[in-house]
Amino acid sequence: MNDRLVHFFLRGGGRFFPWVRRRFTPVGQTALAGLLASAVWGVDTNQSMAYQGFTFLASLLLLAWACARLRPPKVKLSRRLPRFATAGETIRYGIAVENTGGRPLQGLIVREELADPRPSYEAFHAAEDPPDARFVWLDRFLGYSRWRRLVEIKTAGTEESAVPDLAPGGEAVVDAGLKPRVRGRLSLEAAVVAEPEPLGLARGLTARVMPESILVLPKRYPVPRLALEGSRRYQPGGVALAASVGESQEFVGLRDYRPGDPPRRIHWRSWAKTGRPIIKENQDEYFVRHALALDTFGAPGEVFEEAVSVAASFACSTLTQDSLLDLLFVGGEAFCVTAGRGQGGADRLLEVLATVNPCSGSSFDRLAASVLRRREQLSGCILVLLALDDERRALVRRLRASGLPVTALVVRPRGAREEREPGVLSVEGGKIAEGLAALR
Amino acid sequence: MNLSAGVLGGALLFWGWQSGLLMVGALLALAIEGRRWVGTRWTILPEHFGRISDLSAVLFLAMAVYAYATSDPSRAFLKLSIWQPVVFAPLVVAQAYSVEGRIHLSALFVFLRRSDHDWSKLSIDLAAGFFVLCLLAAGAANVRTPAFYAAVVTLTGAALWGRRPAGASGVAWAALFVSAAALGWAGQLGLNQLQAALERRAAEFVFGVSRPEADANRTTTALGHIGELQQSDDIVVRLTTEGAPPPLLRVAVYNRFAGLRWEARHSPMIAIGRYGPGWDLAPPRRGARRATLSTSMPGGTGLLPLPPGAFRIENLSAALVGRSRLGALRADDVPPVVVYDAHYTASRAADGAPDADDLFLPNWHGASFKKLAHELKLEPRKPSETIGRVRVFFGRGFAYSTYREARDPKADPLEEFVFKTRTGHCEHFATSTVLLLRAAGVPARYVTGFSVQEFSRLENAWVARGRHAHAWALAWTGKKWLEVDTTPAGWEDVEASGASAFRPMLDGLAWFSFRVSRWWWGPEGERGPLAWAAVALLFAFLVWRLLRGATAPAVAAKLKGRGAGPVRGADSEWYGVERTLAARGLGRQDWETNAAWVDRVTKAGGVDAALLRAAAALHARYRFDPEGLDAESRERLRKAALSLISQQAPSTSQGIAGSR
Repeated sequence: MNDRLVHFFLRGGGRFFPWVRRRFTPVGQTALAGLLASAVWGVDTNQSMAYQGFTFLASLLLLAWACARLRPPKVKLSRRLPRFATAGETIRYGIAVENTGGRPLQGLIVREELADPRPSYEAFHAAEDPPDARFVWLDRFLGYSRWRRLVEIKTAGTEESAVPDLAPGGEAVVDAGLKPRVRGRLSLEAAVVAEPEPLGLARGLTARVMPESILVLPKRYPVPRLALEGSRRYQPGGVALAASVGESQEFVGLRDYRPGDPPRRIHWRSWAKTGRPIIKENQDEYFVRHALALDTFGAPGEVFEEAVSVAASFACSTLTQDSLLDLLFVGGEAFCVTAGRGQGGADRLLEVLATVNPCSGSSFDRLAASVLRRREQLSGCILVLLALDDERRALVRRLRASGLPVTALVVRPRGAREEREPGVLSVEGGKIAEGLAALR
Repeated sequence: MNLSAGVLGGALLFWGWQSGLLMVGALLALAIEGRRWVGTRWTILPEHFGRISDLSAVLFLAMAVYAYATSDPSRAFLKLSIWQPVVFAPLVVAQAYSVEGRIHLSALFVFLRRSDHDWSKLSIDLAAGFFVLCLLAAGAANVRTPAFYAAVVTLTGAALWGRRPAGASGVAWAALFVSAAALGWAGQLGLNQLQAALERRAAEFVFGVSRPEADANRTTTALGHIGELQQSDDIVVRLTTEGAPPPLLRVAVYNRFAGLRWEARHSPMIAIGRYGPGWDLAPPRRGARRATLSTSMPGGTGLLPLPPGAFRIENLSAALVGRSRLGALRADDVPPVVVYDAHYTASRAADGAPDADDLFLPNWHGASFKKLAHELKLEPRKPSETIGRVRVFFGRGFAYSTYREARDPKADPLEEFVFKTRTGHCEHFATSTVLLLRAAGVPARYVTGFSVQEFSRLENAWVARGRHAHAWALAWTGKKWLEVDTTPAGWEDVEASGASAFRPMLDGLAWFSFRVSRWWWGPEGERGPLAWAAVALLFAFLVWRLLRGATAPAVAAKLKGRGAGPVRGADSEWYGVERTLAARGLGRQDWETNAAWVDRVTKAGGVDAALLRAAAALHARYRFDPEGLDAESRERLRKAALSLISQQAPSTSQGIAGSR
């Protein structure tokens, strides 16, 4: 099909149908469908009486629409939005509605208005057909599957929440729900309050612009707690580098002074008590430090999103109180974000993962170099890969050859054949949870 | 169902009343509204809804084929619409008595049923849509009384009243509703008048583009038409005959020219009696030939195309046949497709003797045509000589064309044709011929009909298309009427040059439709047994589809295993362990999980706890693990279960023996 033509109609439909849903109640939408059907049935006024139904429905809808336009509800709105959401999970929050008009308001509903999600022609044309079972061949042939996918990326599932009856000056907090579909920053433009007119066909709308955004964290899968076999490693700089505040050091015990001990380690009170110089002994900083390397060298799409989700799942499950986790990936440059032992929790890694994008202007070598550079300090490494080519295989082998326990996963597209590589788990897009369940 | 009590029933009764199917409407209304008194609801599985949906789809298709095969396409849609409540009633009745009260969307569409995606969460309520459908179907019946509008308003009002917003003022609702009803009534009057006005304008604009139904009393010519005269490519008449077909088929004859219109004066249509299988138009002649003709008459009435010289028609399925004094034959109350035999001879049938009308010349043409007749020295001569000279006159220097350039608006199109451009189509030639003959004192008439020139190999018959419509003159020789066609030879090629490239394909479709119609509307004896056999077969198939696997035990079994698909692990030996322990009075309760049961059994003692737990774990994996069990583990499960069973067997016997 001609993409320009399809885009034109989908863009038109993408404006018209939401408009109908906003402006008309479900009963009104049925009446609109009846109006359309009666126009078809009654096109020849001599052959069918349906034209009388057409004029009657048209009159009803016209009056209802005029009524709704003339008396929009007067309200004040405010939103109490959480900072984070998770892709695919519904968040609940409150919207306060205050009746600022002089008449009681009944049957109100409130819903969020998101930014216009309709994609440009260029984005539509460049998009790939999503491998989603929801779409049938006709959707794919017409390009609707691509359109729907692009719209879903930019939007979220919103609910219509019923507002209790409001007397003049009355206020109520309404429970609203929002279900983001993909990770990233989601912008909420406005909230809209709708009031049905007396016939119950059309709605009078009052929109309040309240631009806010919410960070949508990646979707997570249940993953078994990995017992990477690596031992604790000496961390240069010790806890000072791992702790967020102060210079606290691991205290082991006291011993007699030996020539060459620094005077600042003398424990003065013990010297006073025993009469001989006593030295405070500190533990060398050995602790567990894992790396979670995310391969970003791929195209945007389902595989990349699933890889981010897998990384997020490990970020949550691998981090313990006593270990550090370095999240390594390459964006514009090579990033290393460390969490654990006072450096921030898993939420910090999730925030980073919520905004990570595929890297197109660089090669996988940069990630490999970044991981290998840290090899000496690492107790174990988790690699989340987008493909299994020679470069990636080489990285896995080099890390293993250095004695580092490595858990490597590769995310393959739906329906793609599994490439077998010893010690590398291949998980299929759309069946990630089942694939991860195989990790034991 | 999201409609108030009685609304859907009322709509069905209204539909039954309007469509003449009151009993059907009443039964359906009773079936649907009866849910308010019948408390029982059934669990109707999505696949059963799917089968009911299939039933509706098959009914719809069957009715669509029937409607399009037996009606004019423009009416077939409305004819099909009338039956729609019957088509969709099975689904709505099933929904009404289902536990859920809604229908899974996937039941309605085969492609959703076959999709890998789980569509079970999407369901719809058909009630509102069905309500609208009933009103539209009632409208399609086209019973033109004010009661229709009143009923639509009342039923819609009842439906909306039940769904008005909470807290909405009843007075405001009523005021708005009554205003809308009044506005709608005024609107429908205006709409009807608007269509009439548009049709008048369109008829003026496209006149000649689409030829209106032939009228025995008058026909308006396209003499003044500017631009290309478009003619339809559709086949209008089919004719089979032994040997050469008659070159012309006559439809209507006119005797009075007024403006751009020909009229049949003093020629009322008089019913003729039926004798045996046919109607006699004139006394039988010798050397008669027979032709079988067929044509469509969507309105159930129309003029019959006949070969000139036809004296008898037979095998026509018509309630009434009338004949005008000028020779046009009209059939009333006929099926949409008529087939009839015409007996004809080369000698002319009695078309009635000429009278003053056949010599009438309109004032504004009289002088010029008399002058032309004088110049051509057409009188006083024998009529046959005059006719010959007229033929010669139009045979030299005149050309055929369906295209006409913009002309002087003040000039008369006919005189412009004869004296200036000498280029025109058959109506120009026929009208001029008639007027010139009359100016020369020869009685003449204007005839419309078809030229037979195309043989269809596909249909093995001669066919006349819309573009083969023709006009010519009848001239009185003193003894009989003679066909005088002065349109230059080759006009057929000019007309054929505009034929569509898709014509062969469209002809194929038209032929199929014609055969189906002919079969359907043919003699009862041919159709009856086959049609009933087809209906019986279809019905049997649908009943089989509906009931297949829907017996009570099958449904119960399906419900029990629902969600598990084909039950995996059903052959596990673990169930033997369960039965064995149940015999000891340690049967698993319905509310008990396997693990809880194993704990209870272990505490009761008398069983190898470790083995039981191991077998339970293996069974759980066999039953629920997506990857299932490998061969070795499966064997371990089998052995463990058999070992447990064998351990229990003696103890059970001992237990039983002990109790004795």
